[in-house]
Parts: sequence; structure tokens; C-alpha cells
Amino acid sequence: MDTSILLHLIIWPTLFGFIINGLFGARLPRGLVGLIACAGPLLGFIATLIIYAGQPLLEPIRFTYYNWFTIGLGNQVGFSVHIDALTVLMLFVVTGVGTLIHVYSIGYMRDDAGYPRFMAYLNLFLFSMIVLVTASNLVLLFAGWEGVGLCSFLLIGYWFGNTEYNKAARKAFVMNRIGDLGFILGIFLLANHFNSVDIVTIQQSFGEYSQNDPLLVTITILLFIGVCGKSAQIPLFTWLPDAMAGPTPVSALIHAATMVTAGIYLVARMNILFSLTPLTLQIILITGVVTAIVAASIALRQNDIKKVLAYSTVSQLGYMAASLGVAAYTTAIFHVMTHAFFKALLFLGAGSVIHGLGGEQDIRKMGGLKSKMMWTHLVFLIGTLAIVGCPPFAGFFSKDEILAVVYSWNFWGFVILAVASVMTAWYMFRLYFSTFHGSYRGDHHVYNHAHESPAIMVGPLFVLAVLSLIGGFAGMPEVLSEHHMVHQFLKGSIIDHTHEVSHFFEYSLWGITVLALAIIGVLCYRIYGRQYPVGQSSGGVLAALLDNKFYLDEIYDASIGNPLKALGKYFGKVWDPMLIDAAVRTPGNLLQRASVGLKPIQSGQISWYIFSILIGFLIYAFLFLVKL
Amino acid sequence: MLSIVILTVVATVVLYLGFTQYKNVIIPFAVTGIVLVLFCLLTNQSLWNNWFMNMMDIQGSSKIFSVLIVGTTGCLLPFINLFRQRGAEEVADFTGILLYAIIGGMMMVSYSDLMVLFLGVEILSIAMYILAGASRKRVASNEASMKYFLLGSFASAILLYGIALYYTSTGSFRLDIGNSGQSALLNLSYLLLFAGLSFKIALVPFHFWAPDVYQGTPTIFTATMATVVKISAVGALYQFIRYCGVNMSDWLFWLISLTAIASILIGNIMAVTQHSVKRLLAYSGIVQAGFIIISFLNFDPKDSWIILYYLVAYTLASLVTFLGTHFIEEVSGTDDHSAFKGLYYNNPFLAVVMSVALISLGGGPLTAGFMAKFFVLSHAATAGNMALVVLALILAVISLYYYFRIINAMFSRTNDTRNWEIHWTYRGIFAILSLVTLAAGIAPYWLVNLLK
Repeated sequence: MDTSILLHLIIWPTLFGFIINGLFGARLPRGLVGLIACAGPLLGFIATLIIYAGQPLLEPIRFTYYNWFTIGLGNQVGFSVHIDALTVLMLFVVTGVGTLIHVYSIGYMRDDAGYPRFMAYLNLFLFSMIVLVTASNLVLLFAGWEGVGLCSFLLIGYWFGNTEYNKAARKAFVMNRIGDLGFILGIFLLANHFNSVDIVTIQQSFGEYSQNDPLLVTITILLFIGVCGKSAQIPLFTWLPDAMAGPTPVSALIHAATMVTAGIYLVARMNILFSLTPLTLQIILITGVVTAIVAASIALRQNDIKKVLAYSTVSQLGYMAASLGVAAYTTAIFHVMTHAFFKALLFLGAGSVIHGLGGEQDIRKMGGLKSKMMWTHLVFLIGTLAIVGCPPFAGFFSKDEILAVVYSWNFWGFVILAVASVMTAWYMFRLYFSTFHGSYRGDHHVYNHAHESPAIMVGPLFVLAVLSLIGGFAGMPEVLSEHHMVHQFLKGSIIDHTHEVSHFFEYSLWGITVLALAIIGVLCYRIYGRQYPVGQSSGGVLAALLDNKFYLDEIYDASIGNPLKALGKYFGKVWDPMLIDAAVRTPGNLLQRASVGLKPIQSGQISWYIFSILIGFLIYAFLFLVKL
Repeated sequence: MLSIVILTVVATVVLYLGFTQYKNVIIPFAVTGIVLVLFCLLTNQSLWNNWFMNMMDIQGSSKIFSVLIVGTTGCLLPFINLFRQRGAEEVADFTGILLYAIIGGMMMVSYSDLMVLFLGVEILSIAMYILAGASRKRVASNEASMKYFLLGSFASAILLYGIALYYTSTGSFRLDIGNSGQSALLNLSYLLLFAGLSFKIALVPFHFWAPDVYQGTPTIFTATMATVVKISAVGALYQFIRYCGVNMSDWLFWLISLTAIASILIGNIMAVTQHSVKRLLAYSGIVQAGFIIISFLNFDPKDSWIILYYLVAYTLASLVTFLGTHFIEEVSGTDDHSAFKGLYYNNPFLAVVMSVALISLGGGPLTAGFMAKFFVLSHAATAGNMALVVLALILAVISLYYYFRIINAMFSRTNDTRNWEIHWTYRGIFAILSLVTLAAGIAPYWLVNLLK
């Protein structure tokens, strides 16, 4: 088959779905709306499969739809597609997980009044995400980047009747904009100095630059600021937990599986550039490690089922960033993939619980749901085991690989990540046991009505559970197998700079992991599994610190938000009327006066008109004489 | 030549049709004639190769100017039928005279001999003097006709004086003899010719006739003045500068810059406080003329498409605004800008097409007017006249005020809820003009290639 047809099939159906559902969705039957919405990502997934099956992908597939504009010396910036191994892998995640979540949404959002709008937004999101991962230049990538940001904003504030949700949407947007500013400045610098924004040509033009060249460091740091915003790294991560205001499928798709990994994708995409700047990599490593531990520690004391998962996502993104920071880009992308499987599974499972309990999200009011929701319980358990890194689930392989590569570069980074791993195990087991084990602690009216979700929601959960179970085998560590499939596949797109670790370290790491998990599992079961410690008094300063998320929101408000607001008020009250208003009004008033003042010359008298023609002509003649 | 012959025949037949019972066929017949002429022009049909001994030649840019004049007339003709609703029976006379007028217009844009220019100016002008007084029973119309006639004669005298001096210094009426002399007499003749044509284009300081005449003339013929007459006069100036511009590049530059800025400035200032929309549009026409002649700076025949593009954009928008104003005048009896209030709620179609036209006149993006101003100013900027460009841009902002004042009025609520219909023919013409305005604004290059 002609490749360009496949490209059209990947890109356009989602946009088509958005337009149809967005314009006519309210008038179409709901079944058709769901069908149209799911067809987009499914077609994309199938087309990606065909590309994967039919092409060795040694050379990237490039296709230009339209030349947008020209920069510098005739370099075209176009609507053009670049498909290589990395893109294909990301497309698999985006369209594959995307399809499952679309199907799930049909069940989850069935009774919502804005169902067509929701489906249209989801399609638009997928379209933007596909543009982001297939873009052949940074400008188009940025367009997709902004598109997903917009959709994130729209979907977080999907229930716009609720002011809190709107605030969360606004926060996400503003935080992302701060990052985007860095990103776009980075693009400008690149375009300015290298005369191109194409992701391939630009990475070939760094030959003459030495390591840690100030220009390159500036560019990479600017790009990384963009990554911090989109991939929720410290200091810009505070929007992601609030983003849980959106419907649960949104949290699963946008704020766990796909959009937040866009930043990781960007760094992996520009890996040659980042590898030239070890200084930036060091910053990325530190940021990632700190993000991982800070988010994991906050998650320990959260009581909202989705908030726990949100902080867990931030923490996992920290892992990915840490992996990028040691130039192990492939490992980061591998974790993006496995994380997409199990985190989507966990979110959708949590959504199933919330759905079954009629909207309850507080784990203190749950418990004992094992018997009521057998399938959800099963898949949630698989998801939990995957995220805590229990062999042979998906998370084990990718997380183990991250720990190993970080260890080979930086011992203390490894130690902190290991501690974060322990925390991960703790908050996930806590979440699992307090939700499904023990006895129900909420309103018994709700409990009696608790039910398993419909097949259309459980189906996608099973697919994701299977993926969480076996997805890790795509990347078997070097000790076990000669072929690390992900590394093999991405060889053409990414050049890693990793060190080998000893086999002894690998084996001992596994042993310690299994042992630690067993201990934590038993402990959690004893504490949370039987009877949840209700009314347990919080202990000390540290607990208060964790409960209040390290007071980060308050600190941001006090240090940046409030001064800015005060400045705005000052300018609005003092400068604006004095300077801007006056500057606008004065010329207007002068003009009015001039107009009225000049009116008498249009007297209506022909004699005067003829006289004025004469005067005009004399002026001409005078000018003519002077110039001659 | 064939097109002029056809026009003459059609116009004469139309005049005779006026004596018969078949008054309904006048306009369809005239429009058919126009279509035929357009066909002849576009396919270069001609009877003789030698036009009046090469005194005029409808080729190249002259051809496009002619097509523009004839096409505009084609849009205007159906509206003449509206006079019959008022009870005026002189439809045949108006149609015939209008057709004769554009023969003059075509001569003005394709002359290479000053005699042809003068003939063209007079044919067009005398026809317009009559049409200005088309509403015989209205004092304002008579006054407009009289003023136009007196001032126009004066301008013709200036033009004629210029022609005479040209003949005196070169011994010929021809412009294409490659005269490169710099005698004072010759330069004076250029000056007089420029002044004479400036009057027809309505440039400061020869603009005084425009507001008074535009306001008094029946609106359909005001539209004719604003479009056909202006295109013809700009075409005449184009021919003049094409042949003689080289000889006077130095002071012509100052003359045009000064005239352009003065026109934009005075036109804008005067337009700000006008209540009559027709008067306002007259001043806006002066401003637009100022912009058009900016593109004569650093003249190069290769860039003639810039002038043509501006004229097309201006013509499209002017036709819609003037003819739309005609309908409002019909309904409310006045062209005061308060009569536009609430138009959107009475006749949304007209309000929308007029808004598009007004935005285009103001140079709003996505309309032809934006690209027109952009091309003109970027041409001037590339030629190095930055000061002029900046000044023109600043002054252009003023025009947004009075255009948007009308749009604002059209979309504000009123208690007046008269619903009135516009015949589908006219709505069709409005729709086509607006669509072309938008198409030329969104994707300008098809039009640019057409004009090249």
C-alpha cells in the first residue's frame, strides 16, 4: 500500500471526528457519536500497525502536505510528517491507549449531557497529539504541543459549572504557558543560529560545537523549561494533581498516558542536541530525581483515589526525566510505554470504582470492594503490581532499567530513586488495600448500589491489564536476553550514552526489590487491609508538610501570584487611565475638533471651490518651481 | 475597437427601446451587450489592428482597466431598474447614457494621444453631468449636476490647457514619441495634465466637488462616479505616467507624495464627523484615491497589478456600500448614519455584506482591502519611502473609526422592526461581490496572477 495513504489515515480521521462530533454531535444518535469518535484512533492504530509491519524503518518516512512559510535562507517550515521508529512507538501508545480510552469513555460518559462535546474534545486531543509526535519540525511540533495544552484545558474544565474545576483548568493552562514560553524561546534561538527548525537537519548542524557550548546549553535549558511545564516536573508540576478535576478518562489519557509524556518525547527526539550538553543533562537528572521523591512522598498521605494516582504520575515522570538525565533516552521511552499501560489501567480502574460508587473518590469511605467489583479488583491489582515494579509485570523491567542506568552514572541519584520506589510501593499498596480489602466504611446505601461497570468499560481494562502483564517483555534486561526489543527498534532514532552495569548488581537489585515489596505488601495489608485506621491523628511537622503538599501552592501564590496581581492592580488603577486612556482619547478628541474646524472650507459655494482649485494649482506650481 | 462599436450600437438600440413598449427588455439587453463586450475584450477580438491611427490601443494593462470598467458597469446596470419603482420612466435614457459614458472611460484608459484622452474625458464627464441630475424633481440632484458641470468644465479647461502646452513644446499630441526634453513649458504642461486628472480622481486640493456631488446624485449614479469614473481617471493617470513619468521623476515624486498624504489626511479628518453616509463615503473615496496614487511612486509598468488590485478591491467594496446605501435610503428616506441603526435585525443579509465591504475599505485582514493596502505600502516600502508608509499607516487607522461607526450602528439594537426584502438579483450581486472580496483577501494570488 502507498505510504501516504497510511499517513492520511493516521492523521486525519481524528480531526474529522472532532469536526463531525463538534458541529453535529448534539443532533446525532449517541451510538453514532461514539462510533465516529472511536473510529479515528482505531484507524490510526491500524495504519501504524501496517507501517510497523511493512517497513524496516531504516530511513524515516517524510511527507510534506503544504509549505507553511520560509525562514532564513529559504528553509521551508511545512506541515510535514516525519515517521521513524520513535514516532511509530509513540503512535502505538497514543492511538492504542487512545482507542481503549475512547471505548471506555462511551460507557463512562454515557449519562453525561455533554457527551458529544466530550468525544469531540477527546478526538481533537488525539489529533493534536498525533501532530505532536509526527511533526517533522519544531514549529509544527509546537503547534501540536499547544493543541494538546488547549485540549487539556478544555477537558479539565469540562464540567464548567464548577468554579473549582475552572480554576484547575486555568492553573494547568498558566503553568503550561510558563513552560511553553521557554520552549518557544528555544525554538527561536535554534532557528536564529542554525537557520532551520527541522528535527533532522538541525541535529546534523551541531558538528562544530563543543560540549557544553553556552549557546547549546541555553537552548537545551529553554527546551527543558517547556518539558517541565508539560511533563509536570518541579517546579511546574503543581497543575497536574489539580487537573484531576476532569473526567477520569481524561486523567487516564491526557494526564497519565500521553500528553504529559510529550516532554519526555521532546528530549528523546532532540537527543543528539541534549547529549552535547552534559550540564543540562545534570540539571534534568537532579530535577527528575527530586520530582520523583517529592511527588512520591506527597502521595503517601493523599486520600483522594485520583490524587494519589496523580502524584504517582508526577513521580513516575520524575523517573523518566532522571533516565533522560543520564542520556538513557531509550529507557525513558520504554518507561513511557509501560507507564502508559499500567497508569491508564489504574486510572480507568479508579474510574470504574468511582463509577460504581456513584462518584465517591475518598478512599477513607471505600473498602471491601473486592467482592462487589471482582473484575475491577483483579485488573487494579495487576496495575498495582506493575507500578510497584514486581517481576514480571511491565513496570518491573522499565523501572529496573532506570535504576540501573542511573546507578551507573550517579550513586546518590540511584539511592533517592530507590527510596522513591519504596514510597511508591507503600502508597500503591495502601491505595489498593484500603479500596478493595477490609470492610466498607462509607454510606451503606451507596455500598448496596455498588456494582461492576458495564462490559464496554471492563473490556478496555482487560486489554490494558494484559499489556501491563506482558508489556515489559519488550525490554528484557541484558542479563536475561540478548534482544532488548525497544533498544533494537529505536536504534535508528536515538543514540544513547549509557554505561554497563555488572550482572551482580542486577541480580542483587532484583532480590532486594522482591524482598522489599513483600515486606511492604504485608505491612500495608496489616495496616490498611483489615481495618482502615480512621481518625488516625497526623504526626508531627513532616505529616503536616506532606498533607499540604509542601505548601508549594501557597509559596507560589505568595512569591509570584500575589505580587503580580498587586502590580496588575497598580497599573490598572494608576497607569492605565493616566497613560493609555489619555493616549487613546487625546488624538481622538483632536481629530474631532479638527474635523469640525475644517468643515467651513466645504462651504458649498462654487466660486470658493474654483478659487481653491486655483490655490491648489499654485501650490503645485510653486513646488514645481522650487524643485526645478 | 470592436467593443466600442458594440457598446455604441447597444446604447443606441437601448435609447430606441425607450420609445417602445418593451421597457422590460432594456436592462437584460444592455447586460447581454456588456457580456458580449467583456468577451471581445478578453479574447482580443478586434475589427482593425489600427485603432484611430494608433491613437489608442486596448492592450495589456489598458485591457484590464477596460475590463474593470465594463464589468463594474455590468454590476451597476440591473440597479437602474430600481428607478422604475420610484415611477421614473427614463430607464432607457439612463442605461444608454451610462453605456456611452463607459466608451469615454475606455478611451481614457487606452489613449496614447492626448486628443483621445480629451475626447474620453468629455464623453464620460458629460454623461455623468446628466446622470448626476437623474432625479429631475429633486433640488439636490439638480444642484449636484450643476456643480459637477461647472467644476468639471473648469477642470477640463485645465486639462485642455495642459494639452495645448504639450503640443506647443513638442509639436505633437502623441505621448509615445519618446520626448525627453526638459523645457519649462513641457513641465508646465505635465503639471496641468496632472492637475486635470487629479480633479477627476478627486484628489486634494481638487476634491471639493466630490462630497457635494456624491450627496446630491441619485445613489446608483454616485456608485458609478465612485467606481467607473475613478477607475477611468486612474487609468488615464496610469497611461500618462507610463509615457511621461521618466521625464519628471524628480518632482513627480514630491508631487505624488504630497498629494497622497494631503488626500489621506484631509479626507480622513473630514470624514470623521460626517452624518450623511454618502458624504462620508465621498471623503473615504478621497482617502482611497490617496492610497492608490502612492503606488505610482517609483513607477514600473511591471507593478501595474498593484494599482489594479487596489482598484478591484476598492470597486468591489464601493459597489456594495453605495448600492446598499441606496436600499436604506429607499426604506428610511435618508442616508443619515442613524438610518443604519439596527439594520442587522431588519435585513441581516445586507448588514453582513455591507460590513464585509466596509471592513475591506478600512483594510481589515481577510478582505481584499487588506491585501490591497499591504501590496501598495510594501511596494512603497521596498522603494524606500518609509516615512510615507509610516505616515499613511498611522492615518489609515483613523479611517477604521468611521467605517466601524457604521458597522456599529448596523449591529446595535433598535425598536424599528420593519422587515424588507431585496430582490434576489440584487442579493446575488451583493453576495458575489462580497465573496470575491473575501476570496481575494484570504488567497490573494489568484487575483494577482489574473491581473498580471
